[in-house]
Parts: sequence; C-alpha cells; structure tokens
Amino acid sequence: MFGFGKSDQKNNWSGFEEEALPHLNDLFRIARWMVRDREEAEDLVQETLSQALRSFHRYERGTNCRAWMTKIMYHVNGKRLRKLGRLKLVEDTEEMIAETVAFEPSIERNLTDEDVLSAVKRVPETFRQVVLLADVEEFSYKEIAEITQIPIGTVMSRLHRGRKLLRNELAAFARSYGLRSIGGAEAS
Amino acid sequence: MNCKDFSDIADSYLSNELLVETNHDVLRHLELCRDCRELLGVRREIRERLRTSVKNVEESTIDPRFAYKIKAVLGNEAVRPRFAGLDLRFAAAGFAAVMLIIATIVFFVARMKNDGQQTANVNPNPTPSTKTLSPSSDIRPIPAVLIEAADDAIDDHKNCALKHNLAQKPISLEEAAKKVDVVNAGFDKVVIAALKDEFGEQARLIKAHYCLINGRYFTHVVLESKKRMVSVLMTKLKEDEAENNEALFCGERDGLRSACFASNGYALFVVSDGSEDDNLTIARIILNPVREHLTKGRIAI
Repeated sequence: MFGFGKSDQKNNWSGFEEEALPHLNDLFRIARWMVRDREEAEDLVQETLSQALRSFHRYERGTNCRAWMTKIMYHVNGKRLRKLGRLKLVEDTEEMIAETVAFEPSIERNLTDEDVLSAVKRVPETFRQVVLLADVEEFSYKEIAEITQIPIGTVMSRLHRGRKLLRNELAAFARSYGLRSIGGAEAS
Repeated sequence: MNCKDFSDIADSYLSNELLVETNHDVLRHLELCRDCRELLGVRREIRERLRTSVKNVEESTIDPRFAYKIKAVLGNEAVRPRFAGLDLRFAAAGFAAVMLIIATIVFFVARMKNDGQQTANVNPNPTPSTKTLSPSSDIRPIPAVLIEAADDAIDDHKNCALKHNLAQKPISLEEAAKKVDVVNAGFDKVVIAALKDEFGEQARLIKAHYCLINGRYFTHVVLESKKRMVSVLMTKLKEDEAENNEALFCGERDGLRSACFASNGYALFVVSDGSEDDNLTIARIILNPVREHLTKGRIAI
C-alpha cells in the first residue's frame, strides 16, 4: 500500500524523537568540524536529520543510532561538497607529510584548550576527521569505516598517522612556550 | 613484544580494538617496561585533553534556539503525508508531469470550446476570477512539541466536553492549583475574560476542570462561543522554555479541528467543530492574556 498511516507516522516520529534526537548535540559538534562555519553546520545537521527521519524505518533498533546518523551526515556532506565543487580527494602529499613525522614528543600539561584546538586544526583534514571520530566521538574503527566509506585498513593507517601528527603539533605548542617535552619521546 | 611494537599499537590498546591475545602481550610488556607505561599514560592524557577541549569549546556547542527550531521542523515533516519507498523528488516530478499533461488537455479543450463559442457569441466583459486563497491555507511549521499533544486535545474535547466519558473524575482548577500546578488557578477566568472582551455575551463559560485523557493531564475550559461548544485545553510540556508566540492550525480529526500555540513551556489548544479560522481567531484572542497569566505563574513558582 502507498503511504504511512497516521499512527505509523506518529510511531516513526516518537521512535525518532527517542533514539535520534538525543544525539543532536553530538551531531552538531561533528558537523562543526566538517564545515567552515556555524551556519553551514546547522544546515548540514538539519539536512542530515531530515534525511534520517525519512529513512528512519530502515534504522535497526538497538544498533548505534549515533553512528547511523553520522554516516548519513558524511553522505550528505559528500553530496554537498560535490555540488559546490569542494570535494577534495586525498592527496598523496598529505600521506607523505604524515610519513615524514620522525619522532613522538609528548604534550605539556599546561597547554590550554585553545592550544589543543589549534593543534587539531593544523592536522590535515583527512587525518583529523578519523582522529576526531575515534578519540573524541569514540566510534569503533569498524563504525568509522562505515561512516566515512573507507576501508578499515585505511582508517587504521590514517588514525595512526593522524594521532602522530597531532602529538607533533601539540609538542610544537609546548616548545613555543619554552617548555620541555615530557617523557615518551621515541623513534618512529 | 618490544617497545616499538607497543608504541605502534598503544592507541588501539586504549581504544580497546586489539585482539585478546595481543591485549595479553601488551599487558605482559607493560608489566616489565616502565617507559612504555609512561608512554601509555601520555597517550591517554592526550586523548583526554583532546576530548575535553573539543567538547568544551563554544563553537562546537549547539545553539538552543536552533535545536528547538529543528525539532519543530522535523516534527512538522514527520506528520506530513509521505509515500513509503518513493523518493519525494520523484513523486513531485511525477505529480508535476501529470499536472502539466492535465493542464495541456484542459487548455486545448477550453480553446476548442472557446473558438466554437466565439464564432457564435463574443462576450465583451469577461468576469474576473474572484477565488482567493484562504489565509489559513499557508503552510507553517507546527512546533514538534505540539504535535503529540494535539491528538490528545481533540480526544479530550470529544470525550470530556461532548460525551462526558472520562475514565478518571476531573478535579477543580482550584484543587489542581494547590496539588499540581499553580497556573491552574484563575486560568478559566483569564480565558473567558479575553473572549468576552471580543465577543461580549456570545462567549460563555460552561465548565472548567483538570482532567486526564490518554495519560495526559489537561487544564480544560469548556465554553460556548458564537453558539458553538469550544474547548480551550492546556498541558505542560517537557520543554520548559517551549514558546512559539503564534497560533497555528494543528490538526483535524472526526470533524473536529484544533488551533494551537506554545507558551512558557505549556501547549494550548482550541478545539471545536468550527472552521479552522474560527479556532485560530479564538487562539489569537487568548494568546497574550494566557501568556501573561503563565508568566506570572512561573514567577510565583
């Protein structure tokens, strides 16, 4: 039969309200790292939720709703970037930059939140997004592979390199304060 | 496992992504290696700093007004008729194509008829079309918080005001003000006074009480307005700040229509068998006095 009945719509909405909407803040935070400004992030979140609502009958209850919506958001953002001609393919040079990280200094405890965020922003986007998904949003490697639509092996190598780059950036901030690196320095 | 091996998998260990056997190897290595324990501590610290910094930063925090707006928009989308399994864009394109074909056929048929008539009789003063769109035909988003309660409000009007068929006996507004919520006190007076100002003796209070329907409590004022029985219903919302300051048409069922608005964390409904515009008019009349009443109630709390 065509169409949802009124009670189906109500059930769909109440299920969505219960399972999807509590992740609104997390989605916005992830969106904020994916796009340039707040307004763009709000548009992205709105489009994502709208699409998630339309597809909610396909969501399997009991699975990770936050990961499901994040996957939709990546998909929506990919489409949006293609439309704007802003989709950037992973460049070999970025992979090569990551490969050149030679040592692993540790961070200084006195770094501020702003220092940490500036360091994150200096990590190339390709690596930054997987680091944030893993270490801030705490998605599993498998979930990240599904969200970003890249093979799990690539997720793991980007994570490895991205984390290394971040540690290096943090160490650079520590050095700019004239502080020594603490422990854990090692050869790559 | 040596220190280099450990350094390569330390983050996966922290993320709990290692196989059980590798995890055991890591634990054995950590037991023996102070440097790697230190390294692990540093990595853990970096991760915690990263998490707190990213989550604390203001630019990553959602604007509550946007959160409210998006819930309303989605709630509205959720109750719009849809076609399962069909992409709306295709449905819209299909609909547009059908309409275009119909319009083309109508145009040619009309033209053929007109040509026939023109040869017989030419009307020098064609009558202009007087059809206008009803103001209530504008599509406006209904705040999500009102959607769920709207069905219950119609049920309450039907079962309480019209059929007197409630499972639980209602209590007076005075009693409800003492036991449940202070805003119940005088709510009926505020509503009826506002309507009398507008309609004079055509507005009359029939009864007011605090009743339960479908598991939801309503402050319920039943009145007669222009010889029609009307319910003004108020229910507390989960969102304390819910407010839209605009009366909207919010549903129709079983020949009953409702208008609604949100104020100070309460949803207000006007339900009757009158037209959409009749209910909207009443909702607009009571909106400001009710808002003032609720604001005072909140201050009193």
